[in-house]
Amino acid sequence: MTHDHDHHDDAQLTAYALGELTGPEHADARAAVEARLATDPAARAQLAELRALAGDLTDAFAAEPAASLTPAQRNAIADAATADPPPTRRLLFTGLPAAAGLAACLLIAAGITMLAQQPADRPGLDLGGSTALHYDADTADRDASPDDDVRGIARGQVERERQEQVDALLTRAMEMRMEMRYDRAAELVDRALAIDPDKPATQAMKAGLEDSQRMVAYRDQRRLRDTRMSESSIQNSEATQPYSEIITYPHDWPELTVRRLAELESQPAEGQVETRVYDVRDLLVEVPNFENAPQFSLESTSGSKREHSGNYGPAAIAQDSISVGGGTALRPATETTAGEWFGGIARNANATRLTPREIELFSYTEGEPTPDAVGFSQEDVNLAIARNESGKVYGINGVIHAEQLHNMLGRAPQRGQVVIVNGRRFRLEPAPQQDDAWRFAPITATNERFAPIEDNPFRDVWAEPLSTFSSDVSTGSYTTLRRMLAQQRRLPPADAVRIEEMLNYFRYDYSAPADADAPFAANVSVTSAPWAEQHRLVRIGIKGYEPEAGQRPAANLVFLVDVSGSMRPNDRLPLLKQALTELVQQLGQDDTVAIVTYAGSSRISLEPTSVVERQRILRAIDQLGAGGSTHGADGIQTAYRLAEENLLEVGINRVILGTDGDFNVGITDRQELARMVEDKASSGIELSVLGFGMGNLKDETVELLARKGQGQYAYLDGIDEARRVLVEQLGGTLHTIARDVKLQVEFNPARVARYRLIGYEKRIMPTEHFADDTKRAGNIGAGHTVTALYEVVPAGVADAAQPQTVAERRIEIGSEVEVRIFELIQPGKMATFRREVDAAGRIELPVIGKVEAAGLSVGQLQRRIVDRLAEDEVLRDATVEVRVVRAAEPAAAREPMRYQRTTELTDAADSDELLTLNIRYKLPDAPMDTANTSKLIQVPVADSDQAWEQADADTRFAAAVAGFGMLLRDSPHKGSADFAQVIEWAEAALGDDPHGRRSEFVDLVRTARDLHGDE
Amino acid sequence: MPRESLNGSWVRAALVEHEAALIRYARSVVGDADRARDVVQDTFLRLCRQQPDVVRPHLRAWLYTVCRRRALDVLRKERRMHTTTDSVTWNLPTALDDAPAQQAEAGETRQRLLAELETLPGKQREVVRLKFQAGLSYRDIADAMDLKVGYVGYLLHTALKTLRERMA
Repeated sequence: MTHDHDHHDDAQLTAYALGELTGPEHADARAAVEARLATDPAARAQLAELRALAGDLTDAFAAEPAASLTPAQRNAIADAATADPPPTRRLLFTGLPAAAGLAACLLIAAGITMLAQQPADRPGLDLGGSTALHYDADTADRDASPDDDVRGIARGQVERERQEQVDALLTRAMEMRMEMRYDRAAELVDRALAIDPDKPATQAMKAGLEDSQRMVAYRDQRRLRDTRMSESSIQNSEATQPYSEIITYPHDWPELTVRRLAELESQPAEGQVETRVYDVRDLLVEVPNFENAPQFSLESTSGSKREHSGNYGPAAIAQDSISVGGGTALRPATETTAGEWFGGIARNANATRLTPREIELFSYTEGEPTPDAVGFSQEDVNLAIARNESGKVYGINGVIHAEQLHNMLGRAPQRGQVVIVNGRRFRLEPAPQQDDAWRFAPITATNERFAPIEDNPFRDVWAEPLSTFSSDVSTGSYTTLRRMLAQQRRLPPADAVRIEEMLNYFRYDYSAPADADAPFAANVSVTSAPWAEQHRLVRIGIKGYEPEAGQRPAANLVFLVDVSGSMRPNDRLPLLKQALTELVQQLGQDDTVAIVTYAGSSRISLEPTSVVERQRILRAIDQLGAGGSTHGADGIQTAYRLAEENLLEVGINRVILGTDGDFNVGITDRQELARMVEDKASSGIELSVLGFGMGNLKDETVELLARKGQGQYAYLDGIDEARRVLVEQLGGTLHTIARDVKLQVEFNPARVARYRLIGYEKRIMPTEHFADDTKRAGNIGAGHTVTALYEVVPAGVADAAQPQTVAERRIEIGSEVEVRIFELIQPGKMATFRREVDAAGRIELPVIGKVEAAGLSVGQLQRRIVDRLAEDEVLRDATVEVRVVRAAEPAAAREPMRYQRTTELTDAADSDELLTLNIRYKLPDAPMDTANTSKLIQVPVADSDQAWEQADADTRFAAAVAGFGMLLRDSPHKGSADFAQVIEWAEAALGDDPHGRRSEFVDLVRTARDLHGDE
Repeated sequence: MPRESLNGSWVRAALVEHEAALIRYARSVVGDADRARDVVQDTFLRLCRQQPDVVRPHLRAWLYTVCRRRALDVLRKERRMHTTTDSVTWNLPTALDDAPAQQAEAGETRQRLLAELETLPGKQREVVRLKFQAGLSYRDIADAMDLKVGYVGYLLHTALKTLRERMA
């Protein structure tokens, strides 16, 4: 018999099945349903089905993965619960003494545990019991609730199985707890709770476990704090590279906890980051109209990758995008993706101006010339892309199927392949525990900053017979890369490798000049270039005059010490203190020392004090301590003021800055800072920089300051290096024997077709500045050596006639250049500027101001402008084009050309001479009127066809060092060099090696070779 | 002092009892475990500010009501930032989520059931969760979702009917 039920009846049946119709108020409804059930078998069947479904649903939900709050979240709740009690009206517990109440709170876990363990035998209820009672009552309430009644009926058999599962899980959790494997135990308990959230024994165990975990965490924290100092170096490397890439540590290694904490800290706070899930419909973007987009010619631009000419405008790029999944090809989001590929790096012109709807993907494998422009496939892409407020991509959650990724990238994904999503770089990794799935691992950004370096190109001797550069005695780059290789076991980034600083780290046995009036001896050797058989290698060695001990003039030293929090690790402030202590031990009675510290504010820790009071100075050094943030500029001003107040007319005035380079000053201030340092240097106060630490080090900043300050930049990676710089070379570090030392090499076109200066990219000077005594250059200290290498293509060899590309042409004073910067002025537009290089060798551009141009190649200027735009936070990774509109002939140098007049050869050209080395310098102590006039030393050099094997050990070792530098930089000019050869060259040229530094170099090359092989 | 401690213990007992279930519920709304945790933490922080004897008689309903509102706030805030609502997929791939081990163990029926559940309209889906996951009564669900009790009955009935048909 069937009834024609309306919807209401069915809904009532459902309510009945779910136990809703229990109270007296539902008596009528209940009666109606029961009456229907009695007469209608279909209704009965429906009831049974409903109950079964209810049971299934309950089970299904219970089986969903469980999650619990983090300990931090729980603690926050616990704090809120105790700190902010609402007024309570029921005074149930007021009879208890205060202390007992507190104890009750503390004992809650214990109470519950007792309950769980002794269910038959209820414990005495005086203290813990009050809480336990309350807990129990709550449970009892719930047990009596009508819901549970029904659920109990519905579960039946399933319920028993679940209880068995729960018991099994608890038993295993108990075992884990005995083994103190709390995390595993907690996991098991969570699973038990997922099955039955209400079981008191499980809950009690969870509470107990959490207490244990917290205790363990607390103990770990304490252990961490105690060992913090010894861990610092590991933390530092952690900042630059994820552990997983270096070495695997045991899971409970304390540093890992530190890393997790650091990760937590580094995650932007709530509100700063929004996570959103994109599916592909979001990613569909409008194809912009490219027809009106500017087309620009490539002829003028540099970069070896773009030497083919033709239109390479946005339209061309858009056509490159890949059609995938059989659907519409997705174009890169906007025309702004008309990127510039520099040496395999995608440079996105508009990275700062993306809206959330725009997304582009670039992928490339490092070292590959042309990255693939990529779109998304039509298929679903389930990726959560997190952005920060400015729209910058911050992370990508989720995994992607290999096939999909293949479609997106237009190639099979490879582990380690780099993918750029809106400017953020990710490395592809196979997803753990899933086949054919990939994830995007963010490439950890490092705090270290190295200014980009573009290798000096080969220059044509007919077009550019003169090569001019400033001397340099800095060594920081070598110690930096030594630390990366030896301590962190990673290859340094190319821009961290400055070959001149590597060369000048080593001692070479050049003959010294006899007296201070001729402060240099030049020592030039020519042999074959070991990495290019037909090329010649010219090694220029300059040795400064070495005064006898005691001849050093008095020194007025101001130590400017960074005591910000980042200096706390052992390899920073403690090392600096040790270094300064040793330096003070070496000082004489005529010297004075002052100490200025800076962090949140600057402070004079020691007024200028004569070394007669050595103990006072040492005490002041000893009391230096780190803490606070950094404001570099204030401290520098104070230090200069002290140095000025105490200025020595004859003697050494120097500020010695010790820092990890983390100046908390704005970018514009950095330029200002550099100008001030330059200013002070011309009034006689030099600045030397001692760099410390790794990770925070703003290499380019400290290098720039030392360069402008006429001083030396040394990176101290340990006490040995500190001793080398401050103690062994005390004379050189403190005693300048010549100022503004400039080198200019004139090549003989009858002998030399092309030449290339190896390194010294940052020290290149415009030709005209060589003889211009108002232009400053590097200083040389007592006993310092300067080593420079030229690779020379002799006239007449096979590749001698290779024409110089436009990008390699050198920009001269008076040249007119055209600079085009994408979106500097208007979105989507190139801004074009034509500028003549002024007499100071600079061009002035809007927004960024004057940029030094003379002496650079087109490519180098381009690089410099990109760098400046980024530095001034105008455009990141800007697209910049530079071309020479009108090339100026190099202005006549003040020295008459030895080998050629315009295009005619002189008689001297018809000699064996390969080149002439010109050195200009000023004597440091000469009276003011003559000090401003430079002196000139000229050294003609002939090539005696010396073979590589016959060359002296110093030359061969320097060649090995240069070869190593080129390999680390992956220079286009490295020729046939490889690590094995470098090792061979260096090992055959160790010489006496009194401090073992050359052997150490060989070890570094081996390390680099191994690391390189791993890649 | 005793009052403070007791308030702490009261919240703590509630936490022990409801934490896991609330997070599961919140996750079903917001989509991932992390935000679910935040929502649940916030819920309990609010609980701390309540008077125990006022809330305790209907603690479960209170918790789910607050938790639901907080979760919806989170979603609303997000949708305001991104104008698209239809294309937002609620459930993230679980690969980076919590351990998938249990999922593997779970029976096929459960998986199918949950999958079917996801195809139901939003309100029905929610009512089913509040009923079978949180164990709330019709009355409690009505309070939590700000609906009439009769409508809750209708929603649940319709949802179960659809599920029964599809699972058959």
